[in-house]
Amino acid sequence: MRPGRVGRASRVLAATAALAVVLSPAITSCGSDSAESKVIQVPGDEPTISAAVERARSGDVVLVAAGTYRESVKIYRPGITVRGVDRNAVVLDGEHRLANGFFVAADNVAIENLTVHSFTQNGVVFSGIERASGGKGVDPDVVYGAGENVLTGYRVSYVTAYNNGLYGVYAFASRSGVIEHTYVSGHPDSGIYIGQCKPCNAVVRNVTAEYNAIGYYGTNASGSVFVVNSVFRHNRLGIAPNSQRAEELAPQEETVVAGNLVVDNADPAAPEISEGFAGGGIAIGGGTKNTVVRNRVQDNPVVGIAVISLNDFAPLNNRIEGNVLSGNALDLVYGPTGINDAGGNCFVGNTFATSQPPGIESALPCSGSSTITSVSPLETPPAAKGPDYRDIAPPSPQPTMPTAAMSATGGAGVLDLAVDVAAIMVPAA
Amino acid sequence: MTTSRRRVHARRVALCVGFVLLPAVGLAACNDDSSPVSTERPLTVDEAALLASLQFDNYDDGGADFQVATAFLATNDTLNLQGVVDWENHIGYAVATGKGAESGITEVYWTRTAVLERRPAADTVLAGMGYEEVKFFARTPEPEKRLLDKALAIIMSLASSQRDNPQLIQQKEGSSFLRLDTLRNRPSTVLRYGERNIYWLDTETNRLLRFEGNAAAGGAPTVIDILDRGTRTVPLPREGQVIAAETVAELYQALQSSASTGQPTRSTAP
Repeated sequence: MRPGRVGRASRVLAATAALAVVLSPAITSCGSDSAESKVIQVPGDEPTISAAVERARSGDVVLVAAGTYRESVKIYRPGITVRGVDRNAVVLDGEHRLANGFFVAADNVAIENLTVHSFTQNGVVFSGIERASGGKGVDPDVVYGAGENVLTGYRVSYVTAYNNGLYGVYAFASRSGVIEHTYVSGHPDSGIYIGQCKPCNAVVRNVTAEYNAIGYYGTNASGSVFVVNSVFRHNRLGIAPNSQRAEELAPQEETVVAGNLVVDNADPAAPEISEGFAGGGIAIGGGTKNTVVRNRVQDNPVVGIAVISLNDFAPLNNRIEGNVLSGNALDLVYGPTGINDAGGNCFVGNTFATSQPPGIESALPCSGSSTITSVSPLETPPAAKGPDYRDIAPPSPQPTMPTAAMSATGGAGVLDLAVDVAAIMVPAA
Repeated sequence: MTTSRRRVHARRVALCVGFVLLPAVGLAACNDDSSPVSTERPLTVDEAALLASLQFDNYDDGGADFQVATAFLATNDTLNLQGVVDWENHIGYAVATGKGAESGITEVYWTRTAVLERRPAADTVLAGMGYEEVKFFARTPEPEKRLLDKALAIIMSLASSQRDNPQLIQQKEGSSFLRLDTLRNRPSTVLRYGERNIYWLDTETNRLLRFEGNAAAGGAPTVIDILDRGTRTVPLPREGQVIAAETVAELYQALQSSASTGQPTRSTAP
């Protein structure tokens, strides 16, 4: 039960991440020649962001001046960046009537350094369906999110998204993406959502998610998904890789949740979860081959880390290692329904006080045989009613993007998908 | 790739579907325009977003006046409702007419946990039992078993405190744009969500004008018209006007039996 251990699984994951990077250049360096890149100023060159995006070509940067922009921006051109000059002063306001702040249906697009709020659907959404179908609507015989039927290459950096009607940042049927230094709050579903992709090759890092129904949700998001070095607090549920029939590509597998601070995720000040349980820090719902390693998980009133079923999906072969848990009603829970053995799930090297079953690391060890012969499903109380998401207070100003991090060339750029999981330590409280 | 999982068939949706299926209902479930052109195609993302928001918009508007026409084709039972719903507080009231199993009911209130039925045929019997003030039988909702309760459940399902996910709607089997139409003199967009549920949305306000659905086996068509919308308050009957159906179980069962068979209610009161 020691914190900070570096296990074999972590080293393997680091190697996997490195491999993904080696394989990714063809994906991540497909922006146009930088010599042809230009900067389009809003409102200097074009009066609206939408007009600038329409004019932009691959490699261009749309640079947005301080101001409030009441528009929904659709991006169908690959390889461009939309960048605010000041994260807190460049604001897209949907006024609770416009659908999405940014609807992206093109490869290699980056959204940087701005705020997007009060849209009825999403703050920023990357749509692999729209990208792969060319905007002509779905092909009923295509599974989006796999093979070539994806949006490839996306990045969201230093974006604040709050009080949007579904998700703050949403990557659907999209591959090879980074969501970083981003703040999401006040969403009645999840702050960050990665869904229906295999492999996803996605990295969520250095984000803060609070006062959402769910902090991070990953439905059928499989293959090299990393949720790391981030803060998930005051949501109704912190982090939830999960499998569902409602989306293609089930079951979910191979997400790494590492080095996160996960605190007090049952806050009645957050919107309630319409379905599913509240009060958990990290919940693997019917997911497979996930690794939850060296997170600090505390003060969650139902459970700290839970490995459970979702719908008819049993959790299989998940590894819970080296996490530090305290102040949770139950620190560690193995509580699926429908199976009475370990299902390949294991717990090792965690610092904890309570578990279900008691002595969980002996009952479900990562080396040696499991002794478990019956499973008690996790009992979850009904969640208290929450506020209207539109009434949740806006966040305080967030750190703006360092100039050094801004590329002169537009587009998602060379994505840093490398995650050295072995180097990630348990964060401070 | 699973090639068998979705097929958006090039179907022409029959004109006046509800009217064709429910000839005895008497509800004008036919569009005003007599010659809409079928233009079925996959949903655009904007159309999927409309479907994703319609339940939330209903919830957000608070309530509505409505009409329902529904039927159970296997038994030729029909039911019409005209009333008011408070979606926010999950309360409703309607005047009921119809034939078959629910034919004895003239008014209905409902909440999340109870259905209150007005059955005037029972008044004399109830009075004879000492329940002079009682006007309504209260019972637990049974949407899986009763046509009335199923209709009430559908009305409530038209509102939700949470929006749906347009990405998933777009790829759901059967979801399609069907046509532009005119309904009650309002320009409308007709969209299908999945295989069986069709929505008429006001083209200008994006609000729901009509829902048309059917049960899985196709034997229970339902048309719901939303006539007006906004905050609605539905005061429930006084406590003394309501009796639990199980308290007078024999009488209540007799009322149901007589409705099903078309025979007069036999008094079983002492």
